[in-house]
Amino acid sequence: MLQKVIMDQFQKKFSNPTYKEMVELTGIEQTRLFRIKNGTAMRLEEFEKILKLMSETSNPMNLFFDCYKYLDQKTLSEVEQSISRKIALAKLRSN
Amino acid sequence: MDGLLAVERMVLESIAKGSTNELSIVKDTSLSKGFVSTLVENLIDYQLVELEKRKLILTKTTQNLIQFNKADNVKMELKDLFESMVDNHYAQSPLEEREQILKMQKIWLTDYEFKVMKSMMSNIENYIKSIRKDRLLHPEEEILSEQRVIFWGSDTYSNLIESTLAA
Repeated sequence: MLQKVIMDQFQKKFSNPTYKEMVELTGIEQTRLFRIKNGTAMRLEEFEKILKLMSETSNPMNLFFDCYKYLDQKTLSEVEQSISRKIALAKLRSN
Repeated sequence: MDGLLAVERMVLESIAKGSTNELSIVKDTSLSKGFVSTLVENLIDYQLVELEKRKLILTKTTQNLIQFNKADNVKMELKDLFESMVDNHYAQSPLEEREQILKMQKIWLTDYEFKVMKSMMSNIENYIKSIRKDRLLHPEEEILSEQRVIFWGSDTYSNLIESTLAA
């Protein structure tokens, strides 16, 4: 699920790149990218590569990285709770 | 998410004070009907509320409510309300016409001055308690959305800063 969300965001961010362009961007082999796009689970290093690319231009992604890099577990949990509550409220309002 | 949203708590409080259907909750809370319907559904899902003879009531078992009232969960609700208080204060304009809904002062106090301050805060608490007692004898038709939310308290500057540094 998370992989699909990240891949969808990646496609949007780079305006639906071709496989060749994706290889250039990520450094991941074309056959591997094809498999990932068709549902094969990403390896951790692949996931990191894609997230890093996203974070270079996306503020929320930078924040996501920085949260895990700098915050302790307790604060991280509070941040998660706070975001979850805002999302839950937004979902309620959109009903 | 384990706790209640502040708006879910509001609907729960409305049911606790006697609203038995969505229309009376709408009147009591000033929330829209569609929103109230969704919130009531949630509260039924959480097993905090049930329908008895087509009337909404609190569930008789308190087990789930105890879970939702755990300190960590209530803390998040309190933070939401306090954040709204700060947001509302700064959303008012222009600056000089703001209703002073939120005040904060930093001041060094002697032991004596701090005792006086604590006594004054205790007076506020006692005044609120006395109003609650009086309502039992002389009930008013209270509307939940018109309740006043009041915060007060104090801590040392260093405690607050230490807490902001704990990350």
